[in-house]
Amino acid sequence: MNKYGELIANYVRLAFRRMIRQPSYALINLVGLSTGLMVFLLIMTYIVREYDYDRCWKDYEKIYRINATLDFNGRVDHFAMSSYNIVQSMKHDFPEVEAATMILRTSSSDDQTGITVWIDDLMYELRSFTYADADFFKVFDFPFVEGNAENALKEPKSIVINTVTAHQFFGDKPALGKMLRINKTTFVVTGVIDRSEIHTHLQFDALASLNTYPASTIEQFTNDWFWLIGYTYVKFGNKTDAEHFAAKLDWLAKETIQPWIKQVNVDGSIHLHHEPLTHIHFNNKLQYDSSSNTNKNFVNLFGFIAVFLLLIASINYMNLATARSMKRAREIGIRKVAGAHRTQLIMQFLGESMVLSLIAFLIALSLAELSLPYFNNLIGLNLSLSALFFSESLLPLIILIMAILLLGMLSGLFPAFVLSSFSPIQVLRPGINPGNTHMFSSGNLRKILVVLQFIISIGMIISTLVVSKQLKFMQNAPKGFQSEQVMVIHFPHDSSLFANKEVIRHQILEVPEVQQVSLSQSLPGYKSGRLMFFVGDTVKPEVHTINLYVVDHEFFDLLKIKLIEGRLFSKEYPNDASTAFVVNKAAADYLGYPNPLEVEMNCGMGVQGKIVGVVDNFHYSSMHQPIEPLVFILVNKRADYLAVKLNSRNMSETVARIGDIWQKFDSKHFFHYTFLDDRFAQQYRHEQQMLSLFGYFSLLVILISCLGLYGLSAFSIEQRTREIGIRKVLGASPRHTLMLILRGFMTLVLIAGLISLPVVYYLMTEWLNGFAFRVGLNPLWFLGGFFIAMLIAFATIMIQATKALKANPVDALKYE
Amino acid sequence: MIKAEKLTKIFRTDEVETTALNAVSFEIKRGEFVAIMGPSGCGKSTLLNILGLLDNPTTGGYYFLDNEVSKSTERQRANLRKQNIGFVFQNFNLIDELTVFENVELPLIYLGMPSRDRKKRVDEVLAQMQISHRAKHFPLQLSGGQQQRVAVARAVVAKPALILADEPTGNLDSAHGEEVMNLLNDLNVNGTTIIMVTHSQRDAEYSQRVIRLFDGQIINENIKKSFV
Repeated sequence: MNKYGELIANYVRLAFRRMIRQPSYALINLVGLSTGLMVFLLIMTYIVREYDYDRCWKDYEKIYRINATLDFNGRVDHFAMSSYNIVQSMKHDFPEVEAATMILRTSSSDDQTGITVWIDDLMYELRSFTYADADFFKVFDFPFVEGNAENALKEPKSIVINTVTAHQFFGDKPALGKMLRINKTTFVVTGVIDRSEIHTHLQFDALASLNTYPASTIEQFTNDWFWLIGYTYVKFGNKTDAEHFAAKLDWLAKETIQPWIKQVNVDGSIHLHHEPLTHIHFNNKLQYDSSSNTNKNFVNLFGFIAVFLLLIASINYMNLATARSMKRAREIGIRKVAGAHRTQLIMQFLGESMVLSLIAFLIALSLAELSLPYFNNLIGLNLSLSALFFSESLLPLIILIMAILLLGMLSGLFPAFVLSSFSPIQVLRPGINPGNTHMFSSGNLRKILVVLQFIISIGMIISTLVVSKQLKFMQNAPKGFQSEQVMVIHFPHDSSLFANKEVIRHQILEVPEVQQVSLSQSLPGYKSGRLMFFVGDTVKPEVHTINLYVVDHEFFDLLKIKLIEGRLFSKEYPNDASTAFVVNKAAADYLGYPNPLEVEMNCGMGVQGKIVGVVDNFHYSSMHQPIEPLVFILVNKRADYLAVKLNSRNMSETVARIGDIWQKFDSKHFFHYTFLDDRFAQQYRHEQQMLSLFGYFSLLVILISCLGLYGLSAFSIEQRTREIGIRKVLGASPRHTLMLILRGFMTLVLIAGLISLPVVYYLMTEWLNGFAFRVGLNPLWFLGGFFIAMLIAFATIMIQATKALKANPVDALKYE
Repeated sequence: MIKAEKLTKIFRTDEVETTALNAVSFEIKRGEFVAIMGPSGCGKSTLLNILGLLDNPTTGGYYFLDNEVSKSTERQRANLRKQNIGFVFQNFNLIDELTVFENVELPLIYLGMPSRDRKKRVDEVLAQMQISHRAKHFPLQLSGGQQQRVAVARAVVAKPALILADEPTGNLDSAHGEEVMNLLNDLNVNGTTIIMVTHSQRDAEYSQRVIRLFDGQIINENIKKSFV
């Protein structure tokens, strides 16, 4: 072993012995550092996953999605979708596009309801299912376990399923060539893909060939540039082709689409944009985008929390190490006298903190592995720590190693410089108390670091409070309709079932706990469709795209939506189904007519007539968004949901009875139901997750901060033992002594609060601005959060302070 | 070996200026055993720190092994120190977390001596100090006398030409104190120069020469034994 090896071995040995000799000190540091690192590991895994979306494709840098922006009368809507003609144009008009494909958006494409599949005489369930054209796998190179990418979606009635579905349907037998029936179409399995390592915004369990649709339907698709039926993806031959593509899309809109718009006599326009594939996951600005998309700020926020936690743990180390410097001063003096250079001592202290960081990392790794299932449960993902170590990109591993090194460096560097600066003359003479000499001015820095810790702690506590208040507000604020005890049965697309709808309704109504039943294509909390409406003058009408609810006569009464003008749909007017519109107040205001009840309207779904009623606004989507204009028409062709209003004390029994009735009519599909308020609450899943995570993390932050405070107050009291002893002998009361100890620390927490409050106020205001409907910030929450932090800090210091109070002053003085 | 020329050390705080040493001059030859005596606060320890290259004088010249070192940097002093000077303190100053063996070994590690040579040398010194049986113990498991023997072992392990002892028996009872003084005497007989600060007249008896300090100045320098 060379000289440096010897030294390092010496330091490591010493670090271990010191830990054993002073277990409480080592424990504070190890608990802090390993908790910090554990959270860091978990959050890193999460961040790596989020940033990894759609980087799994071989040519991901060349793949783009074509998004359409529609502008009617100045109302601009940005969609993630595009029309059939657009993908056809991509395929044929642009030589730089190597491949282009379209994947449809269907009612079962975003796992809202699930769909029933028949294999021979057995019923199975698919979570999500949609269609794509034959070139899909040319753009997205999913790994095929069975079948091949070239031919999988070529023939009509072909279907590609994932390995999980294949296993569920066919067990261990090959799936290729097997038949399965969805609604009335029988598909042949032409491929099985493995999605396990694929992290993409494309969510489907099964993908059928687009040409399964009859030619007449496809013909209809080609007639309309405005009909946004799915998502278009293009793969360029070269990365650089994308740079000039915007101009070409403008050219397409101007030369091809605009003349068509003129021809169909509509006052509107389409703009096309190409969006890099890797941007999609963090883009929340487009309508009808993937439900897996997330907010980048939300992801980054957790990155900050992870760094904060590490910082707080690192501060503990720094503070305790410098506070204990008195105890180590003698060792430093001896080493210097024995010939150590300052750099060697700096290396020694850095070495110690590195050793500790490394041990903490090993503990953290085990803790992270143990807590990963809970963390996954909390954030609704299926993460694995191996992503950090075995990812294709080395970046996560590099960041991790850097973090551990940095943690060791950051924690050790300051103590190393302070401690190694001690002069042996000052520390080796007996009777000299180095605490009184100038070199321990690190005390000021220690105070600053404690303040920093509590700024973060107080900030986290208050943020948790605000997030919980906003969440409660969204869950409890009047929605403008009644969602309690409304059971929602998912109505399969089955014409014979639809034909029986009145019989089903009546039978369900016979259950005594059932108050009302309503059939509709939309419900609050579910995605609504959007449609083009021609409004006003029949010769040159205005064109508007407005959200559409297809409902029945009972809908408004069941949900207790208030009528404010005109009338609702009524059975006394048999023509309502083809001539009547009801709108919400937002729509009436948006259309801007002085008397909305005289406005003529026409929509593509065969309804042409007048607005007959205006209902009050209600929150049909989450409170993130303002209440948008909404038009209601009557159900005529199909339904998606059967809403059943209950008044029951025994829900499960009532639900079972309704289920029995349902299954008498429908044995071909799974009986799917949910409750409207659960469904509505699901829209706040992100906030709910954020709240849980915030709660846990602020708990950890405050725990680690207090651990540091505990250690620091112990040392501070130890340092002042003599002073306290003298004061006691001179007659200081316990209250005086207590005040003496508490004052210093509580002042620091107070200062932290004063700095933290305005910062958190600003950040929380910014966060709340993301909600169209939000709580007002209440100063009491801020004071409350601050008070909680004060209280916890107070309790922590008190544990140590009471020890000092109980001590006999004679012992303290003898000690000198 | 050592030549001090008008060594002066002034300590300054915000308001007070204290002259710890005031133009002190003397010479110490190789192989001498010199005791420095004087009341508390007379500047003994300040002088010892300067002689031991732990501190620089404010003014004056200090020649150590014919090198003028009064203006040396900390690094230069550390290098000279670790090769030539061993220290013995009143309160032993052993590192509690290191074993007896490791404490004695420390100067050799900083000298960069290979491990095998180190082990041999440490074993030799521990045997010489009659403390080999305690090699694996930690300082707190030893008596004061034993601790000071370890400290002496550490001071001599690198075979320094000079040993500086700062009240080496101050924390010991008379029997243990005598043991340590005998050790120092043996070292001196074998050629090591020793400078010792002490309050004890008995300990001073072991030296050949006593330098008496008062208020930072030498008031008396008497040679007690013939030094040949």
